[in-house]
Amino acid sequence: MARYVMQRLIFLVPTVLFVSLIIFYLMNILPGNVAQMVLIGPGGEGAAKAEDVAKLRAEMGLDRPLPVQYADWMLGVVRLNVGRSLWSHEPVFGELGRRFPLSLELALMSSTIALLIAIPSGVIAAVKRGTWLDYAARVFSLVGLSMPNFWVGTLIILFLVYRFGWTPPLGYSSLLENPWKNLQQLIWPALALGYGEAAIISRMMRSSLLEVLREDYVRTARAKGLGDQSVVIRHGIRNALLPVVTLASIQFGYILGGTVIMESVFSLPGVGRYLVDAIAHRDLPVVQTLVLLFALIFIFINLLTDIIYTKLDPRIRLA
Amino acid sequence: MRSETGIVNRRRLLGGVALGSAGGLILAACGGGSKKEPAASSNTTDNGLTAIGTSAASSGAQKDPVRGGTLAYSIGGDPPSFDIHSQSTYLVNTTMAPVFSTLVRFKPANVGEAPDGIEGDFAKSWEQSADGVRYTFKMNDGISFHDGKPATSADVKASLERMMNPPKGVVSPRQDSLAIIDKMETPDAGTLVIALKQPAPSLLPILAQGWMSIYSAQDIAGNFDFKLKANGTGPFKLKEYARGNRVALDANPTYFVKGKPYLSGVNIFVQVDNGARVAAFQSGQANFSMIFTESEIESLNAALGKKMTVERRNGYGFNSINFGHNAPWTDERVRRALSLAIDRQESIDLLYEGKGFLSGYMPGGGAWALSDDELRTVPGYAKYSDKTVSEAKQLLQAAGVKQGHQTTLVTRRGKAYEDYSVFLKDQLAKVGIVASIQVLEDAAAYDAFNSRNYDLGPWSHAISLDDPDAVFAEFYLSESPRNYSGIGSAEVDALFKKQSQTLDLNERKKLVKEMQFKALPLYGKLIAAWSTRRWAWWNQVQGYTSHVGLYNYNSHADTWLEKS
Repeated sequence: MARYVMQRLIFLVPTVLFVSLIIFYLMNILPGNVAQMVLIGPGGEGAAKAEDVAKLRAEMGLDRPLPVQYADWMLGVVRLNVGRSLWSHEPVFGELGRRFPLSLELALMSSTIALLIAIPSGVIAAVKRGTWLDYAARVFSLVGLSMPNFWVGTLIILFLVYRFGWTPPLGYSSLLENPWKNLQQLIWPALALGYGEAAIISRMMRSSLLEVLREDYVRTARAKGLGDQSVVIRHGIRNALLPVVTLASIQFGYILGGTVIMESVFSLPGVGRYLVDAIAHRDLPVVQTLVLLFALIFIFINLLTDIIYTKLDPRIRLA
Repeated sequence: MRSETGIVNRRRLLGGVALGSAGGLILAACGGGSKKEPAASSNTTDNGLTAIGTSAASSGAQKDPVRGGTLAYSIGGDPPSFDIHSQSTYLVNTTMAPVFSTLVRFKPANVGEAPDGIEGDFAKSWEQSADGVRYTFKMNDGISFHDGKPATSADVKASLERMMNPPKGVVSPRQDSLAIIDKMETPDAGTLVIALKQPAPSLLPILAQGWMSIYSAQDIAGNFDFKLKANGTGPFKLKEYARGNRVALDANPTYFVKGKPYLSGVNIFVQVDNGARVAAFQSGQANFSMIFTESEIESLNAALGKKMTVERRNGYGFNSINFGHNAPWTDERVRRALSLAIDRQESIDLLYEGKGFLSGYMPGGGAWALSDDELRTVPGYAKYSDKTVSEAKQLLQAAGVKQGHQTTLVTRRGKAYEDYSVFLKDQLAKVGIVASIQVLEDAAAYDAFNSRNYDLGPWSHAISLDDPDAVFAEFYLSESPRNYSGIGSAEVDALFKKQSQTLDLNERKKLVKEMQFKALPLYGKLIAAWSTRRWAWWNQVQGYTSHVGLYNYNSHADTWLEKS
């Protein structure tokens, strides 16, 4: 396994380089530039005279040849110092350090909620196939798949404010600063996200388990006299979890950086919002760094998933 | 595994779902979510077109201010930086205005921004020379910066110089407006003398803007990071800022106006989602707001009723159309036809939810506005009717624009812009022009505008000061930076120059009126309608007067919270 892990880490380097080149190229061919955006402002309230734009671009170093800009940035990545945001002037890694824990916490909470709901409901739906329990679980999944999670989030906010006259406290606090306030702020988006995730995972769990329960070894186990519960738990679920693990890990990676609208609805300063704002502002150091970070995250999540596979199914050997 | 008795067949399931849905509908109809009659808000002030004068006393009888409490409100995004000198967005202005003082300011109790409604802030008093080119300001005593250092006239001079000649890496949007200053002297720590190149009656309104914050000369000369830090002399000081989260301000215990501020702090939360802002206000998490739409106010009124106060003012925002350099829009007849074809009242009803007003280039209700009757005499601004549409068609025919002519409306993403574009598409269709809408992401849209690469550009603009020098310099002169159509005239430029040096207010008003009558028919920017701005606060918030301008009264030195 160690050799496999090393091989994957070695492949990480060309992957990261490729991703970095792609994103650098794309950001530089898009119309508009950060100097213009700084002058005009987020609401379009300012003016951007051509000479002012040129002056500011020069001061930001954006008039240098593209290879020089790219090399400068990559050097910063290696040194773990990509400099400051061209928009806000705040250190990129500093800002990332503040936002990433929130996104991580949200991803962990929603994934935990999703798995706690999805696995039992998927198992019950498979085991009680054709009964009202199965149909209830499937309707539950269908509703979760049909409703966008940000809409669920909005409904939660409206329910809270109209039923209880209460909304989560404003001004995000981290888990270490104020655990209770943090819980009040994150539980609702975690529920909204978790429900959407659970819907997908539940369906996968059900179909995967149904397939496993039709396997010869399961028939053999029953023929040998094992009870239903033993068959399902010891032989069924474990083998049915493989595709579920894949799905859950992909979902986790998506939530880490892809819940911009949810962050907007619940006023959470997460990584998703940071990235979207940076793209809108053409804030090159931030966009490039974040996209690279997400690429790394997905690579590591994939690696972790592969390792979990070997634990779930001893037949799988990592080459 | 499967029990015969446990199987639910499809017919039974569908029947069960149908019964359940019907039951749910019946329950809802029986008042499970009973709606209350919308409670009328009795604390509503609607100034209509009269923006000047003292504020209506919406909070009832005068009460003694109470100390303590935190004002909390939300803004729609992060301030890009704290350097108010280099910014033009309300996100920076509303966040930083409580932290800084300005040399002079518009009287807080006044709703409007009349030239004669200015008082001292940092300055205690001033004198103007008879020829109008020399101002001598006397500073208040006992002013100190938040870092404890005393503030003097040298700090005012340094701040103005920074805006006039910005350092490397800083662009100053107000640089042109301060170009009238010839030189400044500080004969002593409490005196500042400003000598102008020519008489300039707009000097005081320009200096009264919320952007004209006084920085420390020492900070300016040193390596102070104005983008990330703030050191002012205002009633509040910066406590902390977490991007995407909130800006927290604490009361300044050494504020030079004794006894103020009354609040112990101000919390400004970043909430980009409109619904989240409304919900936070409704639950009381936020107790103040200046950015709600009309329908949001109605929703809050229904929920909160008499617990809140609403004030509406003629705003400084307007919907307009900019013209690119493509035919046939370079033909003045075609632009006039468009102006005649637009039902401006309908645009107010649809786009501003019935709360808006018509005006020319200067905001309605202000000191420089054309009256409704005067505006209707401007070619292209007559009251909409079948006759104006017919006239529009004739103009288009004369200009050689055929029925079915295709054009593109280029705008930026956002509900207000997209709705406005859809409205214009409909108006253009009435005169036989087929428009397609191209919605661009912000950076791409600004790029298109700056390079004049479009046919028609429906856009929402806003002015920052009700003064002809500020407005025309920004939008309507031949070389104005936001004259996106690039349409101007030497005559208008000459009138601008003349009025900007006319000290007699009545004489200047006549010149400004003439300037508008000359500029409007050029259709460099076609004005559709102006918007109304709304302020809302929980009734515990006292001492605040809403202002027509969004940028020029946000210090909250007089605001206090009644204990509930």
